[in-house]
Amino acid sequence: MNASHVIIFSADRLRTGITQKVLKRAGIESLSVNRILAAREAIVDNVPRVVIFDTKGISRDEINSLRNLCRFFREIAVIVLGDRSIVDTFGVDTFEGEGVQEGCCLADPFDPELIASKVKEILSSKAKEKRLHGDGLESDLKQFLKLD
Amino acid sequence: MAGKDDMKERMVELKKQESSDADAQKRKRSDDKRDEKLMAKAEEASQKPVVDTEKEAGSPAIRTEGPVGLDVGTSHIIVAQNEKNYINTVKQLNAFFTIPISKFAKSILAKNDVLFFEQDNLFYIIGNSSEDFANMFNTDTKRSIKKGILSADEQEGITVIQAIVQSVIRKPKQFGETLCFTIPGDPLEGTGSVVYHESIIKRFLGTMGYFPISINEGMAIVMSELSDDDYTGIGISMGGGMCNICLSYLSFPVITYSFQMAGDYIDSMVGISVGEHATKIRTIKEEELDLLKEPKDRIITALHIFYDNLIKNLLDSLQRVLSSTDKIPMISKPVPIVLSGGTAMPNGCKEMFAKALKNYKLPVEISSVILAEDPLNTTAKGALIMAMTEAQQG
Repeated sequence: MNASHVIIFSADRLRTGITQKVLKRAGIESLSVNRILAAREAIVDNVPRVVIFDTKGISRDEINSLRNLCRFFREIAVIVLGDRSIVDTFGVDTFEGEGVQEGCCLADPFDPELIASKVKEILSSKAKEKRLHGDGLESDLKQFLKLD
Repeated sequence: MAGKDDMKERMVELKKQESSDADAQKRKRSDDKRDEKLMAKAEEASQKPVVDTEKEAGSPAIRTEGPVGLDVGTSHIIVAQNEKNYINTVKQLNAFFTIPISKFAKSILAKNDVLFFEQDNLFYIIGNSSEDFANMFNTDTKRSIKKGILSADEQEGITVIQAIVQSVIRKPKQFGETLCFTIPGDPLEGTGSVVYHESIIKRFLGTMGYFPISINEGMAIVMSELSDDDYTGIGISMGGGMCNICLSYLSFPVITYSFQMAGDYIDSMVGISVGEHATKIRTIKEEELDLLKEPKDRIITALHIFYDNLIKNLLDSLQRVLSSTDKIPMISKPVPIVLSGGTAMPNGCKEMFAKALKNYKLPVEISSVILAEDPLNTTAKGALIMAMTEAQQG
């Protein structure tokens, strides 16, 4: 798994480190960023499959920026972490009808194993989709170019 | 035709993508191998036995080769180095004693290989020798570190620590060698700056030619003893001046703090209660105390009482700290508690701790209470393992 397929935004180094380690044990590499601008750049540059937004310890402005950022994702699954009172505000208006392909909120207590299983689940469903889509495209191309 | 060219280009792109993915996979495999090797080496070191050497008067300091672990404790300074089949530790008492300068005293000190330096018209006798002098003058040695951090009462504290460290290690063979030294956690109560303590020691070690990094004392215990538990558990260092506590999850120090009550507290409280010198109490504690046996005299009775008191206070603090934080991740299985340090050494301390623990409900389930294999050297060994890990990453 390419590291750029999963991006973690968190201001908490400890939670970032633990999440990365647990993901790594599940065979998933990840990139981490700790500033909103860096997160935006990393997402644009890498077009990841999953973005994990940890709202723990970030400012209200940063939370608003994250919420706005979420609305532009069409091909990216979003996992929001943090205090229930904050992550709940990401639910309905962010993930429904705004074009985000997939999203979920995991309120504290911080559960790295659950995060890893969610990421794994998302990636495997995406891989299945890609395989179906990829196989079709490749066979179409081969047929078209008479390579079979 | 244009359509066919487009298709060909897309095929080429697909192939390129595949090859770039293959390169990335190859790189990842190589990184994984390096990480595995690194962890294997650290784990291998944690399985090695410790060979302990008391610093002998007149013996030269070690010229270090390879990463170094350094335990800067209230009562001892211990250096750990990785050898082929064992971990070598060298210990020096972290204490000093002053006498007025005189030519006669100087010649006596030099003749007897006593470690000392001159400052402000005084001879500073340092390390193991300072205890002999204190006994000779029927008084106590002075300490450069009080309750785990640089003593504000002793202005020469850092000079003394420098001299003691230089008596056990010299400049490294290779400039910039990684040295990991221990620091306490922030005190739960009381004052004292760990930041100042850490920075001062770091600066000094840097000037000696090392690349110094620090590790929390409790975390060092986890690094040394909990490799089989994925470095997840609670390390408690019960030292002279303080207890250091760390809850580690997969080698990340999630909670760290220090509790300024430990061996010295027991010695002085027992001393006050039975009207004896704390030094005498310490000797009895180290040589005779068995907490599993019924006490047979008033000093041993008092030692039982204050051990019980220390353990209860420590567990109260642990419950308070763990219950008031939102930092603890969900941990799927119970974790062990490892006790280490000189104060945890008397027979029965572990059992007393485990029995008292049954009366507490912690937010983390505890699987067992264990005593470190070599309680006096665990912290230095853990620091060495961290130094080895960091050196390889660097």
